Amino acid sequence: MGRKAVREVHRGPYPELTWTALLVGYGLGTLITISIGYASLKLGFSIEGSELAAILGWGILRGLLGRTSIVENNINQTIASAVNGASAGLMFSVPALLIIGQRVPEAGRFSSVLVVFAAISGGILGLAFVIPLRKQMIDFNRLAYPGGIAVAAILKSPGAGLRKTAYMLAAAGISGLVHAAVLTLLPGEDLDVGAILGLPPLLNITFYLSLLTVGTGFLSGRGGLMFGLGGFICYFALSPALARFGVPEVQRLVAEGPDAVRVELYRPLGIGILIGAAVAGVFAAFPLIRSAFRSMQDASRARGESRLAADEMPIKALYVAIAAGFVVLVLIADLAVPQMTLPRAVAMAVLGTLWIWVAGVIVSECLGRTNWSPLSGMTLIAVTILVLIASGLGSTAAIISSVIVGAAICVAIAQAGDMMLDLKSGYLVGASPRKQQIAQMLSTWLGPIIVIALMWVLHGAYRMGSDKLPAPQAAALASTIEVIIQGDVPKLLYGAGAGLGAMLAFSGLGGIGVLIGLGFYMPFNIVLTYTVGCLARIHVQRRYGVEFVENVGIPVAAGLIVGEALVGVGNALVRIALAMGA
Amino acid sequence: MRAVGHVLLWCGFLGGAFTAVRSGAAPAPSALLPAYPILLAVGIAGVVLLRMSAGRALAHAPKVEGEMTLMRAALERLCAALDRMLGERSSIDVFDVHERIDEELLKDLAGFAEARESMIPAFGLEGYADVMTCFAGAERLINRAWSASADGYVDEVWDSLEQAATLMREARDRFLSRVPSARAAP
Repeated sequence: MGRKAVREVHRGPYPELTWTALLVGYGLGTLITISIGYASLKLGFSIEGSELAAILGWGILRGLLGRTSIVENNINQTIASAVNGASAGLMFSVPALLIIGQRVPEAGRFSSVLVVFAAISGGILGLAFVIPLRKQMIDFNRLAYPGGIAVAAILKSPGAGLRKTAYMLAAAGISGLVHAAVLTLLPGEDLDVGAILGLPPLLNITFYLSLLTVGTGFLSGRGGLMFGLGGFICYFALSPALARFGVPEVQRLVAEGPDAVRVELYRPLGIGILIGAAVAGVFAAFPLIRSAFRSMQDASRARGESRLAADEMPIKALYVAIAAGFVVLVLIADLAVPQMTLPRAVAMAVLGTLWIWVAGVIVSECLGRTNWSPLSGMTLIAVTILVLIASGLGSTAAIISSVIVGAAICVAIAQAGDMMLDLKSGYLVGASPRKQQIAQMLSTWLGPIIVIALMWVLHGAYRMGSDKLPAPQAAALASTIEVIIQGDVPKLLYGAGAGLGAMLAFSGLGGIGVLIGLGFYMPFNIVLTYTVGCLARIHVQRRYGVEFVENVGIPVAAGLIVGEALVGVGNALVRIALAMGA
Repeated sequence: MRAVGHVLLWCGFLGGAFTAVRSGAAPAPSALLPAYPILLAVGIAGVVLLRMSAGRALAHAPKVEGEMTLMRAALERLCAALDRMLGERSSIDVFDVHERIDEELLKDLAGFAEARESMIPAFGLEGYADVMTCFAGAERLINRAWSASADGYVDEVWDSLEQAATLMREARDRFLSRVPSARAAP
């Protein structure tokens, strides 16, 4: 009774894509991009910013500005995370040029304006390719997108009732405290159970101490178990077999430790499985994709007749965006270095565009099924393809043009994954997909400008690749590019994996190829902890029922994700402050 | 047939993966021959058997039949609950609508979604997509009504619920129009 007396009833339209949401989203996106971009150059890891944007947006929109719309805050977090999407894409790729440029000065003399345009056009291409897949992945296949569920839980907290919100906050508190304890009290973030039990190291039974990972596994449930199976195949079947029957070089690798085997063998094979499974999966799901396209075409014809029709982005606008993005990519490749020829630029743009589509599907599906994204692996393949095409230009020109076009691809893939996560949270709060898609498109320009400016400021102050600014991901890419230039690419493992992935995709066992490929690709400690979450969901659902899972399990799992993510961001900022003070 | 299909698929996959990695990161192409193509063929034979057994299971699968009954009942209850809520709009407090949604719709929405894949063998992928387009559209609008109710936007609540009811009826009609042909299938 009291509640009804104090709450105001509103008439008229429900605020969603408003100037307030746009401006707050840009502001929060800038803040998050600078923080997370800086963290990724200093520490080597990137953090997904959606949860942070949703919580800060909640405070600013509701607390400071007195706004009262869940879907408006959803647009705010969509924009903020889209601005931040550029940091994952660019911080992984472009600083590599500055690192290589310290030995080969020509490599460091690239055009920043060109990189910004490449990133913007890449972002738009990634979005245009992935938007038509919304129906297939979210409406038809109902992929879990655990990160999207966590964001939706935050957004819905004003109406979720005290009990659900209390579960989420309590879980977030516990998860944050545990993560803080792990970071400050333990020497690492892993628990080597295999060593405690005296089991052989090749079995790699090490758990990643992360309640966030348990939470994502819980939200994925039974559907995520095959991800675990991929890891078990590697370390419980293949590693023991390789130790006995592998060639001597492989036996040495197994003796060296699980990380060496993963990096050298399982990761490239996993990338191949992911590619084969995703491409074959598109063929296997062709009727669903055709139906989604047809529905979008019908929607553009029937505009104004129903809410459903008006909620879809016009398919023609996406075709125009793809065509324009492709043309810009050709221009960028052509202008990247003076030695570039038009046929080579066209070839780079064609393969780059195709790869954006394939990798966008892979990343979106991996995020949907597990919340983990193989972004670095997909970028590696993109740069490999581009370096091979550009190799006739001389190594420096090949490096510059490949990294610039590769940056566009990397941003495209990051934006595609982020869009699908946001569309999932949007689905759960009842947002209009069209408005979210427009918001995301309107945000692709800002991130690249911030990230490139930040990169030059930091490079000027500390020098990229130095102890004060190690940029570990870009440094790894720089050394990988040099390896690719020397022709040392595990092509056969990629190819063999692609065949196996395609075979699994056609088996009719839903999503198994992508999940097993990702299990090969990811470190087993994460896979093991994630599997604990999946098993916990199955057990809780059997014992206490679906309703308990909906009312208690999901808010708790979302809280586990939110708490650790927030402490992760805080930890990054503290470490940066300490490093600057040192 | 299904068990044999699984055995062949996993033998092909595990053998193929082992063959690929046993010679190191940069194996010569000859290192994959002849084992890899043979194992891939074994796996593909498993895929064929699995798909055949899935097709046969469709003809007399009590599980599919049971889930179709469950989905049909869920759709009927969802349509009725939406109509009931719309009929009571003048007497329901806008801030109570999201609680009514949780109480009256959530279970059937989840139940239908849980069983949805049984539509694939029964209706084919396109038929499945056809029903799911309407169901997902309705569910998203129900979610929107939930959010608007929590925020107190009364016009949005009833507008979204009305459109959700229309789409849910469309989903039910599309579902029912396909059920007889599915039952007549050999």
